[in-house]
Amino acid sequence: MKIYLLISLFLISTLSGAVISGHVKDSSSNEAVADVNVYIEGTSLGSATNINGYFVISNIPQGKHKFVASALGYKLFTKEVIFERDQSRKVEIKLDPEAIELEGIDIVVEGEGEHTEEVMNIRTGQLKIKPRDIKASATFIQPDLFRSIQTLPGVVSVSDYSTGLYVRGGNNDHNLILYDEIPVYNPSHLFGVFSTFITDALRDSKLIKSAYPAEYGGRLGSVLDIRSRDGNKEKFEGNISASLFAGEGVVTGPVLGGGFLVAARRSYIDPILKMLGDEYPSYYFWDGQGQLYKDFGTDDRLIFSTYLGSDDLKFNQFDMNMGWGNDTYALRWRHIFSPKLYSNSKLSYSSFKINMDAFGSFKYQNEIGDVSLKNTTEYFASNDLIYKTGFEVQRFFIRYDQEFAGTELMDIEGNYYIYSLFLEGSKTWNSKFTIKPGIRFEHCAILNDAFRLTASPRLSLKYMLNDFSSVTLSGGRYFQNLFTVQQENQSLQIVDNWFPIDDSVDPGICDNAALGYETTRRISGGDYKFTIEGYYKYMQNLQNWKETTSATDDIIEEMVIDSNFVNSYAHAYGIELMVERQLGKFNGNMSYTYGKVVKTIDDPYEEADEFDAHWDVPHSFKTSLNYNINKKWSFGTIITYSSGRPYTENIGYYTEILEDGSENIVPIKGGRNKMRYPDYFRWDVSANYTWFYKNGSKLLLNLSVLNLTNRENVQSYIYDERDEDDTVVKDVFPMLPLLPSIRLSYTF
Amino acid sequence: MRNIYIKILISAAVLTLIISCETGDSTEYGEQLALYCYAKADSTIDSLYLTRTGGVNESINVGNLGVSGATVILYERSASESDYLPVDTLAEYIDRHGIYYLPETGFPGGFKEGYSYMIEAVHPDYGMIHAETVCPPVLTDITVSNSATGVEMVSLTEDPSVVDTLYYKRGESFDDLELVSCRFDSLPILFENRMASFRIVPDEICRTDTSFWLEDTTETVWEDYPIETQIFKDKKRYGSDFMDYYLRSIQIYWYALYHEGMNTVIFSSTDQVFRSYMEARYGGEERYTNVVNGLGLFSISNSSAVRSRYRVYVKSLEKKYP
Repeated sequence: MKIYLLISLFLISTLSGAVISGHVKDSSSNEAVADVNVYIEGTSLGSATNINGYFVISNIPQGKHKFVASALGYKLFTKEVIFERDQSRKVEIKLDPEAIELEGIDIVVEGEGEHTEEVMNIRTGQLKIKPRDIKASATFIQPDLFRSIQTLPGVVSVSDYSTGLYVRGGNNDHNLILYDEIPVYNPSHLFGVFSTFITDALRDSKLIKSAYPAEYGGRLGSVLDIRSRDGNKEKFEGNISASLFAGEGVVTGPVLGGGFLVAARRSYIDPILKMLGDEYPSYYFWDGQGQLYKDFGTDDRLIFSTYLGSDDLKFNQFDMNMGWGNDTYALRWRHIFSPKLYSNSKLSYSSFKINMDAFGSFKYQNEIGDVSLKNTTEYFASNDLIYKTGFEVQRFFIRYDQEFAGTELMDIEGNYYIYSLFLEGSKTWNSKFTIKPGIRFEHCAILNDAFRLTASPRLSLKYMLNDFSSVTLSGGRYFQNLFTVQQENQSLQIVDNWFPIDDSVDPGICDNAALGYETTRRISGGDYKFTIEGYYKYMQNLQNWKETTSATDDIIEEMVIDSNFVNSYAHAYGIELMVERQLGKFNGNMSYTYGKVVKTIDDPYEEADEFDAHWDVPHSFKTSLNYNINKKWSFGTIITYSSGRPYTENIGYYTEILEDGSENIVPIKGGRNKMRYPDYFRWDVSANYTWFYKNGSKLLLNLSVLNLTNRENVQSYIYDERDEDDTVVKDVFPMLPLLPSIRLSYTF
Repeated sequence: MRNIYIKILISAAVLTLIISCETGDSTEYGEQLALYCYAKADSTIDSLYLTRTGGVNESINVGNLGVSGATVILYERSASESDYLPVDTLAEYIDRHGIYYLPETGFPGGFKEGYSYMIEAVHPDYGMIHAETVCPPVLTDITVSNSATGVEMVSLTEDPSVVDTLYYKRGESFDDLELVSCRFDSLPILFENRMASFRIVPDEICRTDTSFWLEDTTETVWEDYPIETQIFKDKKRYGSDFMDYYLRSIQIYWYALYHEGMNTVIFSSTDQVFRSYMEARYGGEERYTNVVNGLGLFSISNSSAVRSRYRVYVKSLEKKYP
């Protein structure tokens, strides 16, 4: 404690001029609001709130000033404040949400030329996803964060049946998915049809598509930072909703001087499936999310958060039982040492388990998880200089068992550690140019007593061309020590099976860079943001499951990745164009993406040749629009039109004769992924009607129709052998047909 | 405003054109010959299948795709020779389209251990293909034991009263059942990293209850059913002079092996070609081939046989499977 006091005294002593610091919250939900523009009017002094809604403005001259806080979707906050010399003020600011603007004119706060926060916030490849945007869009049965992300530029979906994200040419396992800073390994239900998180329990989410900063690590591609709602410490409120597939509820309110949030969801098709008999499987899933926090004075907050979820599948016909799910727990401590020194620590546990037994002879178990201790400390040296540093100690555990007919095929169990240290800074000159260098060191103590030390440099630059236009450049080198088992011809992954690398292979490496241009223009009274971003990635040491592994009856009991996987590398590049209007009666976004992923695999049975990855979708046009007719009625539409994915076609067949004289039909494959499925088109529409009640509650009816044109998009081709004439016919395995759905949601 | 709509329409049309043109490049299909020949040491060639590949929507079976009229020649080379010498030309069965054989008179003594062999097939429509392999060494010192008692099964007599009894307790998973322990000198094969297979060929009528899985025991099928499994060997796992292997029926586990009688356990050592073929076959659709300019496999195995008499005794019929 003495050390803390000394540090605080030292930091306070470095202050010059007055300082104002504090948190910005939403007045209705009491949730923290990130990226709020806070500044002293008439000066160049300003800042932006961090992910926890915290800000600091320093060097404020003595006297009376107008303090301003503004954020998109909130009413402008202004207050006259008298600052004494070297005074340090702590404030809590509550922003009132802006009612939906129906006149078609956007209310955009313009800070009279002072856009300090704008120049400091380097957003190359960053997109924010708000729960309200997810709920306003056309939905697949129920609002889903991952499905909303799939409608964004640079994100490829390989199937209507999957919430998997392939971001800027990266594979599905290149995404670091964080829920309240806890990594989640398999965030999906029903083999990927639904993602795990309950939308009404989320505060906001940020997708960094590539070239992410040094505070994150462990994945080659992107970061999806999901934050749950803190809980309302002033009043009870909640929401219950029901869709055709599942029901969910969220309750939040004050407790023990702090706030809590409890959310739960469960699917309810299992009784229907049971009625259909044993020919149909029995299936259900459930989720639970919880958050509890308490403030200790103005400088300390303790937060406990958890996510629990599970899927249960039984198929009596095949004697099959299958269960899988995630468990996450985190205890976080936010501490303000001084107005300029902000610290966030967490101790977390995350685990994904899957168990399966089938046919009375097949048993399978996989578990991956980690226990993590992390600290991030921000030092706001001045209004244009911020340092961020931190460390993380992660203990990973993995178990992978596979048994068939009494024969153990795999028996892998192990632990390993990753120690990380990062440092990054952000410096702005003349409110025009910002440089944000960073470096992340990782010491990975893998199995077999081996270890690796990696250094990942990161750099972001931003130059403001004028108050509304900027150019950004970001890049870095990224490492990944965990990967999922994947086969190149497998586009639909039932669940992700994670493996850590060992000393037989090198970690995955990705060198990437992204260049962007962003400008905001007022057209016909509405503010439109235009974004152009280009990126390039070179990914090495990508591991693919060796198809011949099962040919030996050796038990795989050691972590010898080299003997079970083949190495591959890939180039990815592309350009994304997007126009977006976030406010107004008519809002949404339209985007076009050109992206390529070219992969080379070291197949022992084939010569290494370049081919398109199965998630390579060169052209993609997406639009997501919402139209608010009045307070009660709103409509949404999502249109996606993209190139077909590549596949390997069967160009012919031959008869394989086995030792006993029996015959097998064997396909003759064309070039690997040389052919493409037909182009993909889907048009979804939704209509929302809201009843408002006198007690402040409201009831929302959502009607959605997916694939309005009932287009038969191809998931894959199935080559069926017809018994009558031994002819092989090519059938289409289609994606979702026209699918109406209804959802009711009551908010109180 | 009108101009904006026209621009949007033009852009949409261009985008549609670009996206719909992304169809990929179909690989050109060319017909090829496929040759399959599983030869055995000390024997001649009983069946060599010569077929052609078929296109999509074409009838895919030997009857339709068999290739007649080819000139198929077997060549031989001893370890000390450098060039192949022709053995003989194979004849085609009159009533079996695309299937060739080598009469015993043309190949006295059959395939010899340690010799290299090449088959060449020439057809005027499909050109020439050829494949080579080496006849592997035989497995030696094979013993077969009762797994439960560890006693060697030496019931080589035809006397039905001398029978080894193997116990199978119904209600337990059949997959875990260890009936027969097979042991043989594996060194010559192991160090070459090859694979051995064995099969049990019932010499007498063998009773196999095929209805077991469905618990419908009202109908019992009597049939000869050779049970075969392969042992994939690896120096690391079987790193001893002798190896034990328990007979299990993993591929047809839902059948109850309920039979008794004289059985011949045949062990076959195989060539490197067959091991490579099996390695590539599992888990993927790609097949290994040693046929140059074509598809298929020319492989030679070398067999040893041990005979024993045993009966499988079902201990309890009370518990239902599984």
